Amino acid sequence: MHPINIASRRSPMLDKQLLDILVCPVTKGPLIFDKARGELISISAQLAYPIRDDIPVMLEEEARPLSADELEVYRERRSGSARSGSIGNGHP
Amino acid sequence: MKNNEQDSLRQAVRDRYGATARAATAGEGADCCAPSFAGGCCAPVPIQSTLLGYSEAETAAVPEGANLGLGCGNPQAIAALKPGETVLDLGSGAGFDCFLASRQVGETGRVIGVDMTPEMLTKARSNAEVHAEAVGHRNVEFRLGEIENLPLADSSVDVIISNCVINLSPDKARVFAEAFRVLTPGGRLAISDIVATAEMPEDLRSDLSLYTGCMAGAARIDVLEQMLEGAGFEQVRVSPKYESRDFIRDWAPGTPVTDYLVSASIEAIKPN
Repeated sequence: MHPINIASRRSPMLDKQLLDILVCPVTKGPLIFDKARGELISISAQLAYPIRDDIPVMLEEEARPLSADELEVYRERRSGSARSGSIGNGHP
Repeated sequence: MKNNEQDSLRQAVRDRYGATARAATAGEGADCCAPSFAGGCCAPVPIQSTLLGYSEAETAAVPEGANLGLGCGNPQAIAALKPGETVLDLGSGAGFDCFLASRQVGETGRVIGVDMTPEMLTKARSNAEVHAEAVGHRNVEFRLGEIENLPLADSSVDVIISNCVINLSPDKARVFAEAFRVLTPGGRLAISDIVATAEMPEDLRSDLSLYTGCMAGAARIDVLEQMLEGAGFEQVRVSPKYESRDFIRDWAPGTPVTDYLVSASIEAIKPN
């Protein structure tokens, strides 16, 4: 038995490196991880994929369509993060 | 095949493996094949892992509950995994092959399992906790998704493994196209699956329980080779394991499935 990092235990299924290669299954475009809502946002498909029990549910039929207002917010957030480099993932 | 036919086949597969996962969780194991079991039979009948090419040390090395005996070979042995590699398991089920791959690629490697059955992923996730405690690192993750629509970036994985799953896909050409897309140049495919050595008669092919039981959906070897080459793969090699007929026979007693079906290793390389 080896000790396990407590921080990784809290969110075991969302490793940064693996989030980086996760894309929208419909458009293959990048995803934004909305930690507060527990969703993965595909601006290109206008869909929010749920994360259930730490497992990203990457099925089109399970995703929630994004409203125009939400899209606007995420677009802004993405351009903001491109400057600060704080959020966003997908293609490098 | 029409889209709605594909969808109903997918749903039938999801229902069957959801029921298998629930039965395994309830500790019913092989009893899920009893006539009273509402989910239908759970064939393929769980197979002793040593018959599939797993060593006893390998089966002992994964969390209890990860090995549901639903495979038909040992893909991570075919793959010859190296430390540091990123591995994708198509149809990861309860996670057995992912956890073995995790040991092979080590702390610097990564393993991603994709499966479309929520109940299987629930099992896989709890097994992942046990596995992480045992190996001391956390490098396995699971995604609910379809192998025909992979949620992974282009050229992002080194190796794709899969164990007795691609036969269940109603659109295999698309599975291979997606596999090709997500593999890095020079990346490899190492699959165990049921394949057909001859065209199956219509009555077997149209039997839904033989479909969800990993038999009726099996593609002919030459068709598989064509699909893989059509997707862009090179060094395509489909190697039948004729001794596998000993266990395939038990999957559908009283039917002539072993006249047509065999387990095979399927290997291919994405050219540089």
